[in-house]
Amino acid sequence: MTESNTVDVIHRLKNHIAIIVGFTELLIADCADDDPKRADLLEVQKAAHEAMAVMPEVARRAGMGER
Amino acid sequence: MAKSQPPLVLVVDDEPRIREMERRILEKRGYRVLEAPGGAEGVAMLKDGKAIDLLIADLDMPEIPGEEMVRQIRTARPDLKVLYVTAHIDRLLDVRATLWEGEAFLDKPFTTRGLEEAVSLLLYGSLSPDSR
Repeated sequence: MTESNTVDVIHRLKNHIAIIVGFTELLIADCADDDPKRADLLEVQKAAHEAMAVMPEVARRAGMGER
Repeated sequence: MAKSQPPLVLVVDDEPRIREMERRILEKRGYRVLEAPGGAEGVAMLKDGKAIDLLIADLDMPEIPGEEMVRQIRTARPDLKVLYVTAHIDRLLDVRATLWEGEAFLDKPFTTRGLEEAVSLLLYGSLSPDSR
């Protein structure tokens, strides 16, 4: 994969993660505390935040050199 | 900013799901939100005289990238607050080593709170409009 392809893939990945995080948090905000779906949504949110946290490392390894 | 009306935010992003997400997050906080799918449409809306208080500009758009869109409207709107949203923060720092007063950036992916706080900081100078 060329460097520009790698950059493009990472860009798309970041957009996808942003969409997952954003819409999940919108759903959580509308969820009552006792809603049984809330725990599931919190798991999605947790995983999405973990994905966010590893993105700088992914970018670094791909040579994007995030500052 | 017009009195008695909530701030008007223009979201410019070529990814419709990102635009919708940002609009819904901001509308939940009481902001009025307009959307544009690209830099050319964003410039047209700003030059059209719409009283936009804050522009949220995706940097990575085809045809007219976010920083070029802002350059094109700076003469007409030198006071416009701008939040650059980008998955390529390096690119912004390469082309804009220094941001203007009233400009900030938000790295994608971001949380709803991150977006709310960035917008509030630019418009009100505090993390929450409620703490003005």
